[in-house]
Amino acid sequence: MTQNKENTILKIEGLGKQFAQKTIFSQMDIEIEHGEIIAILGPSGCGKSTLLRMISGLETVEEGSISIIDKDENEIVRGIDNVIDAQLVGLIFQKPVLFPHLNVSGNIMLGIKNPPAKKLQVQVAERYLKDVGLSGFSDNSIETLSGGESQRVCLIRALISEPKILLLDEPFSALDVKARRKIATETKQLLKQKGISAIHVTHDPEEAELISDRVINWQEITE
Amino acid sequence: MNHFNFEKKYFNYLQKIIAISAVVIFAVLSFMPLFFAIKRLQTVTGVSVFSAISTFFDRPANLESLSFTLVEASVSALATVLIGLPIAWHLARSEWKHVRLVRALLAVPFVTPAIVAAMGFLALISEGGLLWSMGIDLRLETGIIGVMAETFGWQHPGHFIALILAHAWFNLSLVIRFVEPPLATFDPRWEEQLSLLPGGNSRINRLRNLWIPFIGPAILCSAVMTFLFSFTSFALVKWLTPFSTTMESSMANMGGAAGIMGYRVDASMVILSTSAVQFLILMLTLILLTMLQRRNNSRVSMISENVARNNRGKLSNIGKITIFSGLIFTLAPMISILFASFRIRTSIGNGQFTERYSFDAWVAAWQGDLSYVSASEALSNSLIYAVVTLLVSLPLGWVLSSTIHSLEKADSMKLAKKISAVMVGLGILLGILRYNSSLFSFFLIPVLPHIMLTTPFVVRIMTPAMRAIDPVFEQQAKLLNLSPLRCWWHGRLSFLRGPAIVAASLTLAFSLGEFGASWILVRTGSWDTLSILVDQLMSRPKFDPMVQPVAMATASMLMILTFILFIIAERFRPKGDGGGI
Repeated sequence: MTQNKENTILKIEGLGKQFAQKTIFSQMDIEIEHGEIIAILGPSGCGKSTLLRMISGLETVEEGSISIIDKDENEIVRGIDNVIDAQLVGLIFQKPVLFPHLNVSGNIMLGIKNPPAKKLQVQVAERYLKDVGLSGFSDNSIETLSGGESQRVCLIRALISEPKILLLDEPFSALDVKARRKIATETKQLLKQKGISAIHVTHDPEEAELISDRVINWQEITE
Repeated sequence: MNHFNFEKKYFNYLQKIIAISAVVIFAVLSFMPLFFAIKRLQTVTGVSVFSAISTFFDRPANLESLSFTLVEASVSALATVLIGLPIAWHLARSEWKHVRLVRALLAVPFVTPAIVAAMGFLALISEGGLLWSMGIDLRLETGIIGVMAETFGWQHPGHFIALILAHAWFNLSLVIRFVEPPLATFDPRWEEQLSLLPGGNSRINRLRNLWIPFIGPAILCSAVMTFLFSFTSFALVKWLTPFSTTMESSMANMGGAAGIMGYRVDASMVILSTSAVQFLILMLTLILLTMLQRRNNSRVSMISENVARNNRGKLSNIGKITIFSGLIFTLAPMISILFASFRIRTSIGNGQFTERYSFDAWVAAWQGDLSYVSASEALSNSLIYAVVTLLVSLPLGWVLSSTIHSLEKADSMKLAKKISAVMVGLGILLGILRYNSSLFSFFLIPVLPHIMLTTPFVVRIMTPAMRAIDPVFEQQAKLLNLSPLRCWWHGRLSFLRGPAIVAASLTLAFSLGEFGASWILVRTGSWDTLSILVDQLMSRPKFDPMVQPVAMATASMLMILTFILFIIAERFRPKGDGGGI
């Protein structure tokens, strides 16, 4: 294993993935620094989502390594036995995943380790919702939200748990161009404000430029 | 064009007339006998139905039957969920080839006639049966069961356990059919998303924030339905717990003496008060069920079952053991009946028996050597009743479903989901036959309760199928200027053929196996059905070693018939249809 740079938060070395003996990608190397936002640009079906799932621990790592360096500078290496910990990694899916049996504030509470008492939840949720321009939405049923609003709730829910790295799996792809630009800019501001590193995967070069500090082409990091 | 408009108008009128007629016929068939039965009982007892409710609690025997019914139904619901939930979980959450076959096999008990189920469990627990051979004597309550009875002062625990197991067996498919589809089509991203949030970082949190909200209502729905079916169970109670009575069996036992002026007023009183209390309990349970089903329907996150299964990988060893055990539990009573129909045990004194295996019991059953009516005659009676029932129930249920669908008032039929067969039988006995006793000899009288009991099933199967049809096909047919009949044919009927065959098969199966109402109406007549014949044979003293095997052979015939109908229903059941039992 090579020496970590002082500011490194995530290091991927020689990573590969196969499904049913078909190689999806191999020999991938990426390094991300604290607070850095990178965008990985690649065509549909190349394995971008699989990469994020491997980083988050939802897929096992069988070839190469993924190391996440936590707050106390401990290095957590993803392997076959993945440990999923919201303090390490947050993930926002392409299609918003909000639980319909809970309203907006209920969904937000899932991001809090020790949620407040029931009567205080709306108040607490409102405080977070303000950050994503959704004041007054805490009592709303999730069915009343638009696609953009739903993704904003997902975003703030993921950020509340203060992950070391936030993974964004083309979360704005279903939105129109104007909404996409707006939410991408707001997301970047929020991430910078909170000092959270992020990997955003997309096939849209404009979105990649807007949200990230650095754009990486898929071909550059894989064989 | 004018001709076309005239035809369309005429067709619309015809549709409305048919719809109104169906609703009126069903309402008259359902409520008229009950209305007249209540009127007759009130006249005989001189007490109103409301006063009867208060008198119910004055009779200790009533309280005993109420408490036994509530306890057995509640324990049955709990046991069914405990047995069915792990099976449903493993069945849903893995990728494997034979899921449809296993699902179908596990659903067989639900369409098995109750009298066949009773015989199956009797065969299991009787001397020489599987459980008895394993040292578990639930019938004579010796060994560990006897110790249990003595230690806890519990009377007849073996019979109670047998009843609970039989109810769990009978209703197992309810748990599977309610819980498995939402689990099988559950979007794995939800589970993944939650596992990446503090609210889902432990098993307890995932249980609280995901599984209980999502499958909790489905589990409760199946538990409440099991409670309903166990509450109104008759054949199983009659045969497995002969020392205890439920509300249903106490009404059935007194039915013969009720409704006669100046004779056994107490019997009429018991029936009036018990039916009123039972009706109230069933109503409350049905209201609860409707509320739970609404919640259940709003909690489903669906993706393609195949996609979800592919994401979950192969069945684990624990899963294999669970499902294999479930299959053994399902098949054991059925195999036991078949086995017992070939086994003839003859006493040689001192509690010793000789055993031989032959087809003698089947031959004797077919020829009617031990009964007034042979199995061949009973079979033809059963088939006549089933076909006549089908000829009325299917079109009636079809039109009712169509009316419900067009009015979008599906909830109005919820009450018809579970009717007590005994109450229906008593309704006809007291509401029609006591007024006109010449109808006792009318051989089609048993068809009436069969229609009342099976039409709701037709509605339950046809209404969702009608809702699922995309209206665009009918609209397209209209735009192609097809006649109203051809629009209906291509836009609706072609999509409803499968569900109609399912409904028809199940109607035939339910009518063939119906026991409660038939027992009240034809038990002394010459129009005995197969299910009544099984009961009559099994009620005979067992000095003749052929009695039990002949009863089992008759039950086997009924079981095989229903099994064939069930296979036809499964063959035509639309893919991915988890409900519509």
